[in-house]
Amino acid sequence: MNERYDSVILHFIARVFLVPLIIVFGIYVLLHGELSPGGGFQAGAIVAAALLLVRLTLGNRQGALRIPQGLLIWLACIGLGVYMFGGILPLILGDNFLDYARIPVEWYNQFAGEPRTARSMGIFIIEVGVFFGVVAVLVLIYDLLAGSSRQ
Amino acid sequence: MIWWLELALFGLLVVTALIALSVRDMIAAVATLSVYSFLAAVLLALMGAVDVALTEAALGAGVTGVLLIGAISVVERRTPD
Repeated sequence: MNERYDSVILHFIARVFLVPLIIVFGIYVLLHGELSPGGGFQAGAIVAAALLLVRLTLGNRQGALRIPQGLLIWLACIGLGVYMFGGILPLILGDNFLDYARIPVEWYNQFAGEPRTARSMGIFIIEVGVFFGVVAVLVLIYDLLAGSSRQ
Repeated sequence: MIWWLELALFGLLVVTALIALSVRDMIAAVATLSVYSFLAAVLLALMGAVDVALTEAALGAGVTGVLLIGAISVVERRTPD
């Protein structure tokens, strides 16, 4: 699994068809997570599967050039930061931790098609944080496991 | 609900679990385990838990198989027992 497997069909299917489709479906699951089944964790798992497909078809070394390991660590930290932002913003506004009742949503409702309530906005911020964390950590686990098999 | 479809899926679930336990080749065991996870995801979706089914299909059938194959490439491929 460390070397690139040269097959035109495999690379065409993976690069043109599967990976963009899976990533678009994952982002759809993330954005509709409050109204329909889905959410941050499910979307993160789906997108992480797409990134693992890139690493499997291109081989570890070439695939890691597309999404390098340092970027993944930053992404996991950004996900945690977004989650903490969604938790601490109500504290600044005078509510409890993770209590979204007074999160400002007027700036969003001005240009959005359908208005959002403050609580749905807060849950969406949390879901985005979970999404980035799950994507980065799942791919990082694979990277560390495959890196240990190279030595 | 379509009861015979659920019964057939449950039967296949048990069969794939037994195959995954008894097969000697570890890669074959991981492939059978992925089939098991996918059948479990279909069963969960039939029961109405689409949320859990999404997680099971993405994590159980996709990511876990890749991680287990990565772990097998570190250790031996064939097991004595």
